[in-house]
Amino acid sequence: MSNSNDLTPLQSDALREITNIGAGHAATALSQLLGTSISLNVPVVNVASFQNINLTDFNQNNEIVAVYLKVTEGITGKALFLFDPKSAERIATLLHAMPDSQELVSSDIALSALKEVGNILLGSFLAALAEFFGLKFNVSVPAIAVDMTGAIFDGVMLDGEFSDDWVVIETKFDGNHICGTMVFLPDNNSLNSLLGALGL
Amino acid sequence: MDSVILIVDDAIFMRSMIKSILSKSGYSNIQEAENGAVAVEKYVRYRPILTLMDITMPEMDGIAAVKFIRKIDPEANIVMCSAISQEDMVIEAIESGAKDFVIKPFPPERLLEAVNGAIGGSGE
Repeated sequence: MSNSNDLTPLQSDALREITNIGAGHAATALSQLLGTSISLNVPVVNVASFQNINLTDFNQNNEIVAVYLKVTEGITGKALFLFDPKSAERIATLLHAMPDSQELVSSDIALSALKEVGNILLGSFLAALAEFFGLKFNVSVPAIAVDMTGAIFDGVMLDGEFSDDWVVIETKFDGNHICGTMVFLPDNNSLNSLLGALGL
Repeated sequence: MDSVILIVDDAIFMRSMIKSILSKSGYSNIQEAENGAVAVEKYVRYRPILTLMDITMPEMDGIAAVKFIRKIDPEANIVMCSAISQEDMVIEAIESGAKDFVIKPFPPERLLEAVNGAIGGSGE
């Protein structure tokens, strides 16, 4: 497969299935971290122009909290964990990292906690995928940003390889008033490796 | 002076959390470093009885820092604490001289088990 627009229904279904495996590990990690039950929705797999990524729960002009990892080896691509600001505050509060008198964006400890949560969840997701496929992976140091959804993805687009269209794998986490969305954007080489390993 | 434990993690939240777990178990002399390069500097200065080391960090990653520290002190006690739990990375860390590998997220008991296992104690 040379272009992600060529994704067949069978391939989409396979990507959903393997995403479920990785996301299941991440959900377990999130539940352990927060001491509360977190469930998963069925992953959404779609092909989108990067500039027109339309996540199911996020308006381009809404503010979100995003943790970003660039995957630099093996299952290469870009991985993000997105929280709406209320969920982000709730997570920081559950982790005792939300100072009473400060806003999220101005609290170093709250942002550090959220960055670590995102890092752990994305690491857990990627480790499960890597184990399933027998592939290695390596990641960048995580970055966190609080900004409009569109601005976040503009920044991600500018980091490294640019592709006009990407496969966007999206999984929603939900539970105890906490919602988060994990997004994985495998690059074309990575996508070919993943689908090739599945015989697709 | 109590023996020093060095916590190396680029996330201030994670350093605070680990410090809290250790403090509650009686470990009171704790130093922190935000990357591998600072960890090497602080290792030379404080000669900690144990270093808890993250892997993915800016400036110098945890595996490189373990190799540096083990050159300085072949007997250094180092335990890795990382969200990246791939088998080959665990093997590389152990081969580089780490004594244990704790995968994030971890319950306090797991961290303390690794700490006490590495230094053979149960608190200061």
